[in-house]
Amino acid sequence: MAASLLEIRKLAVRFSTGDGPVYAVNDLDLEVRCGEVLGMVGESGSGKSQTWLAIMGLLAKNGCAEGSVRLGGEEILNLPQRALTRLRGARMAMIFQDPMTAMNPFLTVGRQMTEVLEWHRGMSRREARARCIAALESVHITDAARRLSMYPHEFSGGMRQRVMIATALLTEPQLLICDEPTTALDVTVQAQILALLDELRQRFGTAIVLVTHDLGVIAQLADRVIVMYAGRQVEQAEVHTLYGAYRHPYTEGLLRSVPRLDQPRSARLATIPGRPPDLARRPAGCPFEPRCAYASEICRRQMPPLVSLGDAHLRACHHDGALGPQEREA
Amino acid sequence: MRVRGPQLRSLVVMIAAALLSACSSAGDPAVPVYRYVVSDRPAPAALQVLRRRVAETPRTLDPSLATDVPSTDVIEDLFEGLVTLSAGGKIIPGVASSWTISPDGRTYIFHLRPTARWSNGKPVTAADFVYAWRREVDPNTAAQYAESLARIVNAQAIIDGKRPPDSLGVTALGAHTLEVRLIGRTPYFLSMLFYVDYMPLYPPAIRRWGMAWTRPGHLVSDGAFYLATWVINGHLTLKKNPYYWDAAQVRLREEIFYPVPSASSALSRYLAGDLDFVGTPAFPPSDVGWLRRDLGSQVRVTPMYGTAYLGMLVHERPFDNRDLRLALTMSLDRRVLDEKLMQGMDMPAHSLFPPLPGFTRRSPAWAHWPMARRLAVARRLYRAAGYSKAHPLRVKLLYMTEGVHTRNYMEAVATMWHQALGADIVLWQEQWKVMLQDIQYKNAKLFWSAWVGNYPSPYTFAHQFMKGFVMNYGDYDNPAYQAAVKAAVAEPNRARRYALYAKAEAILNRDAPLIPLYFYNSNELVKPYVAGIEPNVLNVHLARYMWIRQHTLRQP
Amino acid sequence: MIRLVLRRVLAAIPTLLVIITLSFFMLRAAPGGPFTEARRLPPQVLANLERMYHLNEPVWEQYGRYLTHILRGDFGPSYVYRSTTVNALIEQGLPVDLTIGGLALALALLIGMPLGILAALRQNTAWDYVSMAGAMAGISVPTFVVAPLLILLLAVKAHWLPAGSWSNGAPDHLVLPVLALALPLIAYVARMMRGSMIEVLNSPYIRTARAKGLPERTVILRHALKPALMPLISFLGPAVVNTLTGSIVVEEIFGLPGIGRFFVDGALNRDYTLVMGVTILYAMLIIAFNLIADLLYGVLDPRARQQ
Repeated sequence: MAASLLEIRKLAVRFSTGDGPVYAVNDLDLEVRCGEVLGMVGESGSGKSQTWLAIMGLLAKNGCAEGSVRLGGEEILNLPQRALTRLRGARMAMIFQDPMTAMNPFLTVGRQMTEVLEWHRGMSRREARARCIAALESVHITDAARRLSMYPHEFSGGMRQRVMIATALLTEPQLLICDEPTTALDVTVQAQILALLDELRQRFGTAIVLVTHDLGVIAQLADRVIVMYAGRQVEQAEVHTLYGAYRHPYTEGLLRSVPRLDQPRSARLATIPGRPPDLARRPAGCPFEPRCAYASEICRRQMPPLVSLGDAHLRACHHDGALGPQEREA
Repeated sequence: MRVRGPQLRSLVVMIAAALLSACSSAGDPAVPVYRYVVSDRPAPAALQVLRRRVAETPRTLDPSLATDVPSTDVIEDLFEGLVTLSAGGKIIPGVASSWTISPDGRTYIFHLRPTARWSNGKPVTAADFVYAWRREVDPNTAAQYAESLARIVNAQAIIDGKRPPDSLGVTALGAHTLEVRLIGRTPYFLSMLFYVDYMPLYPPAIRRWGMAWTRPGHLVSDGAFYLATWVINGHLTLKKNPYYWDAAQVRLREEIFYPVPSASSALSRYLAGDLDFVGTPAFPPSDVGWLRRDLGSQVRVTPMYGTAYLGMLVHERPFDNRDLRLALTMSLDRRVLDEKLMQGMDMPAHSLFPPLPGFTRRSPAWAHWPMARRLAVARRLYRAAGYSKAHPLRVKLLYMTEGVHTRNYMEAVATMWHQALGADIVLWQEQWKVMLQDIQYKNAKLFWSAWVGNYPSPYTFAHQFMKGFVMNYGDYDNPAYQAAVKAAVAEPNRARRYALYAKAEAILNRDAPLIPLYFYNSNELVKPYVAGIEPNVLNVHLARYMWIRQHTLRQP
Repeated sequence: MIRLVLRRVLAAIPTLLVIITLSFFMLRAAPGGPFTEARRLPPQVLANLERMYHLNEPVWEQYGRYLTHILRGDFGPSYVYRSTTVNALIEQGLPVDLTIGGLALALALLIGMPLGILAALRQNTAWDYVSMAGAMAGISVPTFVVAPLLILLLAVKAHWLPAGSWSNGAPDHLVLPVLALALPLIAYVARMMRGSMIEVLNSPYIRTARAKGLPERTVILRHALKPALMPLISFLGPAVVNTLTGSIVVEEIFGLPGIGRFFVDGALNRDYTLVMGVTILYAMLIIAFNLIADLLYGVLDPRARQQ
């Protein structure tokens, strides 16, 4: 097993709102290992994005993070602004969902790339430019020198995401956080971007966190998967284990809602009934209980702990029996 | 003869004025007042500069075309006619040093001063007067007040385009002798010669520059001052004319006019020390109390030759009924209106002619009755005219939107009539020009009116009620009145003339074709170091008499 | 760019024509005329006047005559200022308005922008609340209240500054009118700047810039400032209109010789040519400044530049 790069212990993210505090992330423990691709899945509001924004120090003004996050053994949660500017973009980088809005429309692509090297590496504009051309070429953008002086709106969505990735990797960070990197893109472009990420991981050995609601994306790229629900980790496993032997009813629901080529097109996709819980009101029991087909009395009363099933497989569920379509039909 | 119309100003300025006066009229003792130590000796020549307010920017400085008070205020310092005014407002020789009048009163011979000079040093000649007067009546000049010259032979025919301008009854008998022939005896003719319409013009300037001859640098004038700067809506600077025949007596080096439309702005500019002299209206009536207390003799309230009244269409219902007209005029308690609304700044008027030295006015008898008796008689007349509680008089009272205090005054009048008689008066406000048109087209039966005479003769007021005169908007027509006025005009003896005017006034009092409201007072602000401003009924203050005393500022 | 300017100038012609036609006939429809005086003019004198100014011709003929004169840039003689042409009045008044308006606008940007940016950066702090409450007051208290108050405090009570008049644009005479004109503009600019800055700071590309580790100063100056300024540029057109109309009040109160007073006095006195001249001038200024705003937008925003 590779060495641990990022250790998250008891991470909680809280937002103060007009209706009182809202917990977006609760009691999260996990680690990211050097060079691996860690997938994190969940519906909107499951806390998967807020987890990484908190680690990057990018929470909204009313948000605050508690717990501990260590990067290479060094505590990085709630660092002062000055220290953050040395850490972000240098040792860890993050790219976002919509490449259309994530780039500044008023600055050239070149300016938005070179500034990273000028700031973190103290390079001159000229040196930085040369490096940026190389970086663009490494994400398969041709005619890179000319494109540096162009503006984001002159690029397609996929190209922009390539630029974002190239920019993020300029400083060769140890950790690249990709928050829904392909969601806003066409399917074919999506595949290209995922292939690119895979290629870059192998080339630079960068650990990648892939935050997405799309299990298909996870399946293509991730080594390990964490399933989030209502701000909590409900299942964690190697990617093969999860797809083959998932042990959480929510994971089952997620997997059944993915379209599959081996099923007739007329078959209706399964959906998970109900809606995610209101994060402002925290029930005593399992947060998935109201939507769970396997729920029993204990689920209502008691929060299931995250327990190891062995073989690096963890889950948080009271249900001991088997999962599967036959039971749900019964 | 000119109407002192309301100083036109926009609504916003009035609100601002109301606000400012609200701030100050609380008798605000926190306003620091400049105090001066003043000596009787004149300040050095360099400091002989007077900054005064003019109510609006002059519309023109062409004496033939001027119709508004601000224009005449400035023109009177630039130009001098055959006669001029003393500081106290008396007619005195101007460019003409003497004159003779023929026994029939129809031919005047004026002897011009050989020392009279234009501001470029050229002599002022009789021909310059002939040129100016012909230009005034020439239809191609289209002078609005051309009829001011109507007493001169052929003037009316020239205006009407029936005779050429050179047929005007005015002849240069020599370089410095001018003959004027009139269509009849005109006792007020000498007073009229002070009008800007009678001022001489420098023909070469007008021929050379055309319409632009009144611009600084082009304008040549014969008065105590010449034009140095004129920014329309901005300041206007006059400088001493070194060629003026009486230049030795003129002490001011420079006179600067600032157009300030509202009285409250004028007041703040004066208090801020930007103005040395503010002519009437220098402040809102509501401020008179604390101003008098804090500024003392800087506040000058003096009688002016003007009357405010309500006019009526006397040949149309309901005002063709004399009992009704009398009931209305008798039931107004003008003393209350004056005290409550005008803070004693104007004088209650019960008849048309304003006070004039030497002239004994004829007030109606009821003006001396106690109010209770007046009301009793008024109610009886009102009933006699056919009105009662069940059938009250309902009529529209028209007045103009410009001027806050007019509205207050009209509201008070309507209330008074409602309380005294039960009359229903609908107040109707119109913009000045719209109101004028409605009055002139006889669309109004009861309307606000005011008249300010430009020369001190009852005739200027008497004329307003003569049959056929364009401004007799109420169409009053009484042969006895007309006979009295005509007799007065033809009477050379002043005492007998005034007696005839008094007789005419008595007829007006009996017929009541107007409801007199008040006689105007002027209110002025004069810094203690400004000398040479004397009260006069015409409210004309020529800068040639003014000078600046030596003074220092005493810090409060 | 040149094509855009050309197209917009051409598009302005029908607009101007509509404005000219409407105001020409509306003015003549108003009761009273330029020569309605308290003393009704004798018919012959009135006829002389009307002949002089061609007011005796059929109104269509007058309209045609007016249009041909305008094409030559001649606004005609003023009816009320009888010794002056409208062109001369505008030549004299416009510099006054441009001076106070330009200074007020500059002051508004100079003070309002930093004020708004600081409020945005210190959102929901005492600084933010105080400056925005001040701005709200600045917007809601009208000029005709602010100006007399300024006069009362700084001229009448403190004796620091003159209470009015132009005096050839002497700086001490400019202070109060410019201030009175600028205060609501400052407030407006500050509020707008705050709003747009907050919006920009919440935008994804600012999050990207922060994620790149850039220091906050660089984030704001390089990434946030320019986009936040864009709404201000669209505001330029309306701001010029506001300044023009606002200056009418300021001119009245401070006794300044600008064209705003010609507009008001001209309308009250039925000085047809003067009102028409000022109306056309205002319309052209508004069209011109909206065009300038659009051009500036194009220069500053790369996306608009391409279109």
